[in-house]
Amino acid sequence: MEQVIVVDDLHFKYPDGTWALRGLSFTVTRGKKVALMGHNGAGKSTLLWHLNGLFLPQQGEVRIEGRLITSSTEKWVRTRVGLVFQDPDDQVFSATVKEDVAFGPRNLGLPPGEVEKRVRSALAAVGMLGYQNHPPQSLSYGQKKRIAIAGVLAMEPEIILLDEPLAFLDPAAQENLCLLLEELHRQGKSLLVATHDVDFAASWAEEVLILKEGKLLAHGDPELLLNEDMVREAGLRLPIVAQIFRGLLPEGFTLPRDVQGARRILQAFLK
Amino acid sequence: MCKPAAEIEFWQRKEGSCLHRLDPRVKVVALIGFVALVTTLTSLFSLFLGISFLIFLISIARLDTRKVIKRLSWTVAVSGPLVVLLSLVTPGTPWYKLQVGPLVFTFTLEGVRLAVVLLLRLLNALLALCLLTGTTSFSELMLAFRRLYVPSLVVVLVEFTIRYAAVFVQELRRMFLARRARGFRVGRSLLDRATFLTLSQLVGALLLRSLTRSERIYFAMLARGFNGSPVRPEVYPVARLNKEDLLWGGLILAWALILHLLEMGVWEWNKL
Ligand SMILES: Nc1ncnc2c1ncn2[C@@H]1O[C@H](COP(=O)(O)OP(=O)(O)OP(=O)(O)O)[C@@H](O)[C@H]1O
Ligand SMILES: [Mg+2]
Repeated sequence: MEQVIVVDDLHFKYPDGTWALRGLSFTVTRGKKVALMGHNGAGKSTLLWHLNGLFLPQQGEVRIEGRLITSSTEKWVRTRVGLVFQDPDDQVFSATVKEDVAFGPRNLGLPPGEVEKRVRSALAAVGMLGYQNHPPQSLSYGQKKRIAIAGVLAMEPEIILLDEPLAFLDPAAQENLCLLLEELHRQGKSLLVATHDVDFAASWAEEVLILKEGKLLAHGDPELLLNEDMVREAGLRLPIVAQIFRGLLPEGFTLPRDVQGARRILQAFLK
Repeated sequence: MCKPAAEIEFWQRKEGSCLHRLDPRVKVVALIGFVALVTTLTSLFSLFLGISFLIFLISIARLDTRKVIKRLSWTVAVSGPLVVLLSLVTPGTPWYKLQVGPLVFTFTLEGVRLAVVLLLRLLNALLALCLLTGTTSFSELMLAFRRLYVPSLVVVLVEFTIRYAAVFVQELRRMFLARRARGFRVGRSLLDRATFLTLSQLVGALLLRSLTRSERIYFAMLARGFNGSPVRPEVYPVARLNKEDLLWGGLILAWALILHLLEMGVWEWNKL
């Protein structure tokens, strides 16, 4: 299986002297759904900026689809890797919504007809097709967030990085985003989602990466999130469904990590 | 509200008045030419005709009159005092004496005339600008500049300046709201110490925040493949100007030229 992201011994220090990343190594396989977790200031956003080539490693290296990110490959990297910023106000700046979504595809040098098609389908995917001519400043934060996501979808990158995509979305929009992520997964995209939402990560992810103070604390399947000691150390918590069943289950049962798992256990008992 | 499919034709928008649909290159050249010609006029009547023509165009373009007036009043408010000052310091035949207490201000005929001429020229330039920006979207305008061989660096600078100005205003608005939400009252005297302190901190924070914000915006643009020329003009076939474009451009320039010619001859005697 092809490794689309390879991070090796990555270090990064901000100009003010803060070490945001201190020797990070991991790999991501093509087509995987990966959740990136960790306390505030753990270095998630900083890591994502590296994977898109916005920051170049000060020590260590990052490879995307086998190619090392350097100042000469960073432009190419940005055509393969899409990054949705944590704060949509950073990302959304054009006069109208459609102009903003068209920004990326145009930078890819696509012809106008193709740009138009992509803008429409990206806006449709986030449920904002009716807002094409609105100025983004007049939208709510959650709506801007969706525009920011559309702006990256329209570039159709192979690898999509999302920084806190669920925050500020209403439940219906969260649900829709999850469906959208599923759809992208079906298309074979590799997804890396930085999130604080344990319940989401436990039910959605195939792999979990947990950072702590700029280092990798754990990397593995989402069962990791059921390990109480690890979760406490990472500044996270157990998924709600796991909290409900904790201490109640007899031998031979493992804690559920999502609603389906919990239902299976309950059904077993109800029989 | 939102029109379907055909509507997203980015570079040749088909909606709006005929002036909206005019090729942006034509608009830029014609209106800049118009301003250059008209602002060298000296007779009041021809300047006035220039303004009437622009008002006519603005009404054709169906621009929001209130917005236009608001924009004009701003600049007039700023330049008005200058104009008054100018008519005071220009020597010539006394026209009107104004007594304020022990002070006597003498407005001269020449001074007043000069002031009015300057004001009319200003109005011409501003109306033309309103017309241009009111009928042309920002990206169209920038593309037009590129197509007209304005150096890419200049265009990028203009783009960034305008974008960051918007960032600046947004941050300011947000910070004011946040302060007000915590009980800060705007509009008290600047001499009030607490107000002054808060405001000076606000200005400092505003600068810092705008700086980091604009840096992040720049990074976000890079992340979406920006590399110095946000639109690749070479991808978009240069549209041929059609008859309508040339007609309108010609009309605008011709009007200004005719005013000039007339001024040279016919209105020579008609000095105010
Ligand atoms: N521009 C900056 N200058 C200096 N230090 C910074 C800057 N941005 C982030 N840091 C520091 O780098 C560290 C990692 O920050 P980062 O934003 O990557 O964390 P994060 O995991 O994304 O946090 P959050 O969950 O709050 O989004 C933090 O200690 C932070 O204080
Ligand atoms: Mg972050």
